[in-house]
Amino acid sequence: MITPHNILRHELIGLKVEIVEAKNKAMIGIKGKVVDETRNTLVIEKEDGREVVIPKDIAVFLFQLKGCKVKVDGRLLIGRPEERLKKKIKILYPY
Amino acid sequence: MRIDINRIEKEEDIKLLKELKWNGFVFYQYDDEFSKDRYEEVKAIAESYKLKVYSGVKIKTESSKQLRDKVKKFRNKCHIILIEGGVLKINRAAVELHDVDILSTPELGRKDSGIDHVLARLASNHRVAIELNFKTLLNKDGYERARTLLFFRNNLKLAKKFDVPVVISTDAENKYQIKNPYDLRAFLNTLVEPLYAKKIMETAYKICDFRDYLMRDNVVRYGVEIIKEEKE
Repeated sequence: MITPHNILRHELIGLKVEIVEAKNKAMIGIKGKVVDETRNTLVIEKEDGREVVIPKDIAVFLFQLKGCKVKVDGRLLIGRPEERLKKKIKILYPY
Repeated sequence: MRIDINRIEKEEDIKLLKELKWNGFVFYQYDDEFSKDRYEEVKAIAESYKLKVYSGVKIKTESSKQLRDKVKKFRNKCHIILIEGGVLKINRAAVELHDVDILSTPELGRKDSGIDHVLARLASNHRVAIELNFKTLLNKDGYERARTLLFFRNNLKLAKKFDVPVVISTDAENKYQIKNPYDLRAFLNTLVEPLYAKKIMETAYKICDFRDYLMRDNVVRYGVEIIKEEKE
């Protein structure tokens, strides 16, 4: 079961997602479903069916889980899904 | 935001902090005397003067193992963890831990500055701030004071080179030791360029704000935050 505590190591494909912050302001507000993932990007299918490729390290994502939403900094998601399982999660600092 | 690190408890002293334009302070206690009730009392007084108060604990030990045990013990009980330095192995153990926020007085009781290029790099990787303790400087005379200034300057050189966060504190215990933040800023201007001095003054608040954010119930870790959905 996917939870806020294990979402960083979990498969992201199939989750509903919204971009709430991004260095590229044009990306803010994009909603849809994750349909693919590479080491540095997420492919999101928007509600109108178009697919967009979003770099992970410049955005903050809001994932819809069962019962709650989780805001995740994209820098923590860098890595292929199978590699994230075994990687040590990086500790981020704002200063 | 200007945040000091001190042991101020009395109401008139807290009032003086407000008058001198501090925005808040870290009220720290030593690890063997830590009491949450004491912090709550100080917080209640300070909030009436609209000052932000963060709880802190300063760990004083000579064993690396004890240091790690105490850091683990106090991490979730207070906002800021300070380590009293001076022993080289303690200095090193402190900068190797992510859970340590500030290494206080690394030069205490030493004939060198307590920080070298190896420790500076470790501190940079683990974001452990180096503290410039103004009280230790003022309590020294003559050549000792000059040597302490040299230690500060050496530590600042390394900190700038390796991007180590630096904080400056008055470490005041009474109202006579409280300093105006502009005085500290002016002191820093004599050691480093003004822009870097400004950055140093802001570092304490950034650390406190970061740790305060991590203590929220809905924060799993920095970068992962639960936003609870309203049930229909």
